[in-house]
Amino acid sequence: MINTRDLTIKGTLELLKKKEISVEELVSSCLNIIESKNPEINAVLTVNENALDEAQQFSNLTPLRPRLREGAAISQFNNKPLLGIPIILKDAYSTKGLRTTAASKVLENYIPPFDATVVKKLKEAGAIILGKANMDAWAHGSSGENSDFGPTKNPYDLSRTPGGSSSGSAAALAAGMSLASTGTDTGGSIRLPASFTNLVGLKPTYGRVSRYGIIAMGSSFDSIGHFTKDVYDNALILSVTAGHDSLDGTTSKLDVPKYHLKLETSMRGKKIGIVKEFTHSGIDSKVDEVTQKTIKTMERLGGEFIEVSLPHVEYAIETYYILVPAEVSSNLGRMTGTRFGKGRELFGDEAKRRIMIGTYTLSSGYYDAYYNKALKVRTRIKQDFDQAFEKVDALLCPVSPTLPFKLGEKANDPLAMYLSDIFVAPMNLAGVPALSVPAGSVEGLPVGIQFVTKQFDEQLLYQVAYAYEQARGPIENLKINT
Amino acid sequence: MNNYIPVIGLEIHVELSTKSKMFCGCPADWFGKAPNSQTCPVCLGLPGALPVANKQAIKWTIKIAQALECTVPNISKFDRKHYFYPDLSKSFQLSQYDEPIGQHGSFSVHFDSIENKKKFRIRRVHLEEDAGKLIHDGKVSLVDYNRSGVPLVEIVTEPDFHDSSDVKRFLEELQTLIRSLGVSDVNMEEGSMRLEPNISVARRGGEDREIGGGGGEEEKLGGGVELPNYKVEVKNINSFKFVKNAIDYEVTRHIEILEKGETPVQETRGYVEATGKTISQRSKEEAHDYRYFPEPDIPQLEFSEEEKNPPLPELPTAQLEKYVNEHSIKFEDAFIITHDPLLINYFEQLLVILIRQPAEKDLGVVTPAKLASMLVNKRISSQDSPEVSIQKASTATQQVKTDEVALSQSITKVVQENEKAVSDYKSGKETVIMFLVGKVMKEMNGQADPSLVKERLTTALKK
Amino acid sequence: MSSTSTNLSNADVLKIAKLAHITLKDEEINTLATELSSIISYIGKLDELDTSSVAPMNQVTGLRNVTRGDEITPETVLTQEEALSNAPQKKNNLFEVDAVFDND
Repeated sequence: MINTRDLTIKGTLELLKKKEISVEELVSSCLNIIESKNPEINAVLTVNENALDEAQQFSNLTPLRPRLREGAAISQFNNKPLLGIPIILKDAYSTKGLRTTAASKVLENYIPPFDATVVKKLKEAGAIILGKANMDAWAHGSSGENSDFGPTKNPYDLSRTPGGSSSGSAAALAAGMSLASTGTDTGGSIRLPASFTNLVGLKPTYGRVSRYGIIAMGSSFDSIGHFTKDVYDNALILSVTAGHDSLDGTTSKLDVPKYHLKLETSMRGKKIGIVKEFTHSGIDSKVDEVTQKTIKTMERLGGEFIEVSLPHVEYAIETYYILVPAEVSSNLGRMTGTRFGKGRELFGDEAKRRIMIGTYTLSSGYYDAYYNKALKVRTRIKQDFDQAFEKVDALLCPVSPTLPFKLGEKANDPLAMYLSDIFVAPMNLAGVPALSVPAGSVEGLPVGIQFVTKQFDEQLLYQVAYAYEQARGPIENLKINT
Repeated sequence: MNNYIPVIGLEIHVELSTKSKMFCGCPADWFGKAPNSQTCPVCLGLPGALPVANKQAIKWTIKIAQALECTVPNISKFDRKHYFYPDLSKSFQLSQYDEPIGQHGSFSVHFDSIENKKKFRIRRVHLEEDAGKLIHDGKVSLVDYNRSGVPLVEIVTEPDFHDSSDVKRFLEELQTLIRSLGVSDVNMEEGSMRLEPNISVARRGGEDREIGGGGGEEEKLGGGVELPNYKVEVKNINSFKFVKNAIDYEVTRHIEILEKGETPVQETRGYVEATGKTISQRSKEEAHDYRYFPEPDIPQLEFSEEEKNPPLPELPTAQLEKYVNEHSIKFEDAFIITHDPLLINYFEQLLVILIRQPAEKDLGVVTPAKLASMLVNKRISSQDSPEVSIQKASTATQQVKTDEVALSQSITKVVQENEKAVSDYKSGKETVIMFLVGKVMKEMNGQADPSLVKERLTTALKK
Repeated sequence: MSSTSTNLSNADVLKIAKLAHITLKDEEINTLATELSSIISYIGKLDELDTSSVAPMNQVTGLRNVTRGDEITPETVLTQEEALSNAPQKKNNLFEVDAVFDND
């Protein structure tokens, strides 16, 4: 059995190239962990029965010829940068022939006849899809507690949530069930769980990665990202998933660099912004300490901190909760149980709430006051970010105002749950990329920090995060409890 | 009946004959295909699917908008129109709400003569997608999504129609127009052209008020009219031959209700071919709240000046007017030719040859009017080469006996009435002689030998 | 529109539910009325902002004129079997649903 909890993708590829492990062993190990740990943490909803067969196609890997430099390797690895890497996908990603539920009873029996574009790309890159991860149903939530199939538990503390809505993706990876996992981030749904489970979580620029085939939540917000153990792995995956898609009219035609090959950059002279409005918001003092430590680390690296203001960010949650439910109510209209899935009576409480708020704000007489108004505030929020990035290269922000909270703590107060998105939702309104990176631990619980750059500046985002990660060193006092 | 005036506006849907659907790469040619064999995640409305707009459909819609004299904006977009119905796979239709591709246009239609022309105002032209097809089967309904996502152009007129015959004429002309653009088959029986009239009946009485349209300018319909405060939409009119029936039935039905002092219910009704009546469609009585909002998955459209003004072929109405006014062709003949794509194509070729003929060449003098008449009466055929037809016409025209007195009178009249042409001829434009010959031939009702006419006319003009 | 507080009645909730094709149990209606009212009041806070000179932003990408050529893409078309593969009810290769009454 391979200890997948401590393996990175980069490390694994080395081992595979040297034939020290095989893809079959790798996949087997992961499947074993899923089998033994999933009953406890409920991270995975569906396992790919064919994973081992798919692993076997790689049984005769050509070893890397020792004389050649890595970049010139003549091997299968060249064309398949993720060859043999086991990945778990958030269950919002359509997988052909493999059940896709969005963690809702409405889609309990839905088997898509097509792959999402990102799934195609990952497969073409040689990745092995192990299974589909639990989530808040329809991605509505920040804790995983809105899943129709039971909540996911945080592997670092089983009484707490791993964050949401990409709850299962984060927990699965943290527990060693795969070497990477994918998610969606509409209002923090990758960054929050990453912060709660000691992982690197990317929300890419909206339009950097294709949304085709990914069950839509907020069409103008959904950003298709992923979780990894470190910054290098994260950058590697983005270089595979990013790019123009003719099936998604909102994707950019900008070139996709090999992000992982250009991570080393000096931080000297880099201007880093601290958002004034975020320092006023209620934030747990221990969480804030981690933020302060991070700032010191970056300063030691030569980063210059400047205070910036995003004046309209105060209204971000209100704006978000007008626009997103409106888009949700529209996107969920197709779930009628006539062409696939089951009837609308199976929608859970949170889904019903959001559909109804969305229907209300779009209905005749209310459109201007709510939806159109919110679109205007969104313009202002984007302008705030644009102006900030004229002064600084990157922003450094907290991810969550609290430590990973206990299961059940916020479940009865929808508004309280919405407010946990306060540091992450504004980036979705502006469409900018952000990365949550492990920054420390408090009382044995993971705490992450968030870097943000301007649209399509993921290369710089990764450089800043990488510099931080290298300087930060290992994180103490964290133990997986499953 | 004179106390009541029908007030009718039309909503017409035209299915574009693109190869692929409006928002996906499925084949658009759905008619007669095996059910649900031409769908994809997008038009089937599967979770995660996204729309990408068909550029050709947009271009063709702009053409239609321009042909209908609409203003085409610089910016346009698609909006989601929400309602639940089994044939609407996403439970919203991608359509256009407040920034349609065309607005404020008009379309003029000739009736029995070149002077009898009515102008009808076009409120808007926009682009949307079709829904699937619903078939009723007792206790269940069955759905085929092959048609889902096919591009539709919706044309909405102002309520300028007051007579069911006008509606029928308008549709026929619209069909001819759109066919000439080559963007749709516009065939009612196959569903590539659909009509939903909105019908109400206005009551005369009360103060003078105006109802616009019909005559192009604001026209008082005599004696003051009370504008209706309701309207009824009629669906399921599947053929030209039912258009008049359906409207007449509905108007009569409204009048009966109005006579009782009541107002017809505002609703949607379906036409039933078998009985010639309309019946109420109960489930659509609730007012629709479509909750329109701009489609986030499709970025805004911005049109350049070239895109807004695509080259259009010469349109049938313009051709009709040219034939009658410039070539002195009889209205009925010109009408038939301009409404038949095969004939008009052939006729244009004949004209090219005719105009190329040097004025003196002794082929006998064949006029456009004569050619038109012979083509319509099948005395020359589009199966023959144009040269052969011209030859046949020439032979025929030489056989006519001319009344010299009448001819002399006609020539005098034509010369008096066409000062400009005469002076053009006299200042050296010799080809104008054919125009004048045509006028004389018209005066003579075609009963003259054109070469003789030309000879006499040339002499007369030398004076 | 009053922004300070919105109070939805049970009737309001039922109207919205009907529009959204959401079925509600009797027990849910009251709770939803309260929850929705508080959420709607909260989001109504946007009223405080003066946005009279701002254009609405519904697309953060700044993209324009994204279209496709009029081509059939056979690789995206589903087979009849695939299209019907998830249908809860079907008949003669058509999707079967409860009867709807009007003819259209």
